[in-house]
Amino acid sequence: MSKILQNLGAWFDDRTGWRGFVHEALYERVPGGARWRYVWGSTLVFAFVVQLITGLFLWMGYSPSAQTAWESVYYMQHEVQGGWLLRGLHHFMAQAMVVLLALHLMQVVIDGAYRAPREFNFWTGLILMQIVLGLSLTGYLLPWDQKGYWATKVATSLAGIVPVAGPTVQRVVVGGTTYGHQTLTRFFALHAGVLPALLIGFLVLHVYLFRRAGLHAKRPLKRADTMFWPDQVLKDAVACLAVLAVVLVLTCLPAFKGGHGGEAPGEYLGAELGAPADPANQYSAARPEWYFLFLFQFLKFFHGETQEIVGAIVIPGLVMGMFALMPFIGRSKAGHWFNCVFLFALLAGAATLTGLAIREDRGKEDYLKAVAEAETQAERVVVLARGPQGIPPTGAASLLRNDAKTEGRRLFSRWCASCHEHADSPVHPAPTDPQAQTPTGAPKLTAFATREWLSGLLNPAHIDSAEYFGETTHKEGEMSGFVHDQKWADAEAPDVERVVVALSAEAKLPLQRELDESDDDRIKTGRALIAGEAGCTDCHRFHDEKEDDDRTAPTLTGYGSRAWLLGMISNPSDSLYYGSNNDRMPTFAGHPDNPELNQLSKHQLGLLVDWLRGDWYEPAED
Amino acid sequence: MAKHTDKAAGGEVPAPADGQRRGFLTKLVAIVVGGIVSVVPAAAGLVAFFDPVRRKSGQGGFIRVATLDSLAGESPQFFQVIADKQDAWNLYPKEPLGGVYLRKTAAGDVECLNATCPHAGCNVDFVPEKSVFKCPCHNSSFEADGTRIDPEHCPSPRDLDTLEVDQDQLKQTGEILVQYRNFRTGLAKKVPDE
Repeated sequence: MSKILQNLGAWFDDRTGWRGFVHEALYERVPGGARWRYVWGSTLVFAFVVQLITGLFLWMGYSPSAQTAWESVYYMQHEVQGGWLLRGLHHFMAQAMVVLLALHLMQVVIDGAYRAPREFNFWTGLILMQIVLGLSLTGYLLPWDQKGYWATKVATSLAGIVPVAGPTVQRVVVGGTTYGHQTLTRFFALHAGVLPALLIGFLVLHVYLFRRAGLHAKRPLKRADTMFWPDQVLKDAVACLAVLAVVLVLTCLPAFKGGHGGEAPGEYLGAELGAPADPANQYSAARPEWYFLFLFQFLKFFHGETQEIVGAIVIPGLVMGMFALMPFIGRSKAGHWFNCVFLFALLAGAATLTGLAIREDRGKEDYLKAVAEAETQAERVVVLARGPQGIPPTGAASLLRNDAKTEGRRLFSRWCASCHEHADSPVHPAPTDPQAQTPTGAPKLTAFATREWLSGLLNPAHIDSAEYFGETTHKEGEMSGFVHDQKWADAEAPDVERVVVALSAEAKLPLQRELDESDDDRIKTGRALIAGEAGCTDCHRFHDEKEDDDRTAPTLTGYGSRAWLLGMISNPSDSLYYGSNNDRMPTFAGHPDNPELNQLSKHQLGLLVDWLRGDWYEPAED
Repeated sequence: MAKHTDKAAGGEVPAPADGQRRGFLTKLVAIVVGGIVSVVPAAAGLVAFFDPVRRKSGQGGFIRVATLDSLAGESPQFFQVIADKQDAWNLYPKEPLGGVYLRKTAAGDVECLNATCPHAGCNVDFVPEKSVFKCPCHNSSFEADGTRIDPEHCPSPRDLDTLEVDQDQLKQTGEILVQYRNFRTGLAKKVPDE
């Protein structure tokens, strides 16, 4: 039996020469024995192989277009079994690769392994480094989330400042003047096709040149020579295992911190996925990956066109040029020292700049706010994607744009927040007197039309405060007078409460639904009070509209309801609302016959009103 | 066991018997034919690849952004520019193309600034408390009228880009029509990105 196997092996070798090939691959002499300092190259090859494998499987689930990129990555992260692990491995191994590159470069420079006859080996290494950085840059955009989108926009606009070829390069890479489908198809082709093919080509060349010149042993040799197999292979394998362990730990890091009861692993493990890219909504916290932060910080020191070219292109080019010249500079001992000092100064400089960038951001309130905002949106879009409507074919960006909780809030901050205070608005009115810290203008709208809000309005102690009519002409108006009147002050507390409860029930607020349903009796008596004794209907309508109605105060029919708010915001000067008593509130949709002229569309008004009423989709609690 | 290849077995290729001239021609033809077969597919690819360079962005028309009565005070206010947007094979109706800041001047005119920072293309934020524009990326800052606050030490090579407002339409109907255009970033001169 063994004879047959032997013969078979011999025949196979005769026809293919595999024994020689395996021998060539494994029996490389390692002068002075296997050492840990030789493992970096192998760990890089390992990291690249991990990227090839995980990347190939990610490819099977990825769809590069503006409507499907984020969506397919979302599906991979949150729905595909183990998708978060696959993404996490790919994402964190990419980061590990940059660290390993730096270590490999340091080891080669310190050991002087770039010297003759290994110049070409060193140069191919530098090219490989550029390719890996190119892979990082292109990969950052592919999930098409806010962070990748806005950060990569900065990177490609920098490419545009390169004299002569810059604008063409920029346009070809972006696939036009603006980011869109073709940016993704092109970046994906670069990331998964062109750059890996180049990397494999140069890697083969790099390893060939390395084998041709033999391993550059660190002198003095400490032990007898060994072969690559098995001593060095074992050390390399252990190092690769360590790299993999670190990457796995990074992928699962939040799990070690605990406190994620009941959540699916995709929601807190693996690589981050922000909210889908939305060109209409600036992401003010756009930052590149941490290993490019030093370049980002560096650019802040260059002012104006010429300096920017120097900072973004000339200096990085010169640094790479210096690296390319290292084999020649390092011929003398002094030159070698110079190379080492140069490399360490560069790394120290990059580390300092990175630290500066992080420190500056940590102290910037706007930046921290933008980050928190981005996290809120990233979580919200996942809730919506998993909601009853799912992700529509138009893509997930429309989920947020049509979400009252997100877009209504945005609309409020853009159109209302300069006058109205709202606790949940990201923008707040500028105080007139910075020391007083009181908002100016219109009533606060936090919890508008709820029982609490109305209790405040109908309270003589509060109606003239800045939270209600304090900064408007209504402070001197009839409503204020009514609330301050002795008759109202003499009203019994339970009756006032009934009025409040009944009026608030008009709004049919989702948050008060249960409360309203259980308060049927008080609502009934309250309604009777409003319509009669309380005297509200002297000025306000309340389910008693007449023709030629000359009552001038806003109608109380459906007060605070969706329809009431839509009408009020559309045109506060309408006779149903404030009429000629309107104080400064702009008309947002005063052209029902010519909607083109309205500032806010019907759809936008709906989102704004739903947000004010706290009426948006929330998943049912388990 | 001896290596069993034709080369090892001494299967010599016969030496060329023809003259040098013929050899030169053969080489030349081989290079030309080889060149053609590899250039054609690459050229076909490159032609399509460079298509975006030839394509015009189609920007420059006047787009209605707001009405005069929507501008309160003299502080710049942010508005989205909404129009049909063509992205390769898709036409998105009424899609936000970008953002502008509109400002009523003391003289009653309307000034329009493109919200894109001329440095590296981030959107600038208006800070009402200080009445300045701040870029969240590399800290360029601008006055409310768009001029750089400290041109010597501002990363941006030029002031915020002003956009033309249709003054006739403004006077006639109070509608603010803006010629929305983007300009190349990083240059001291304002060059339309077309």
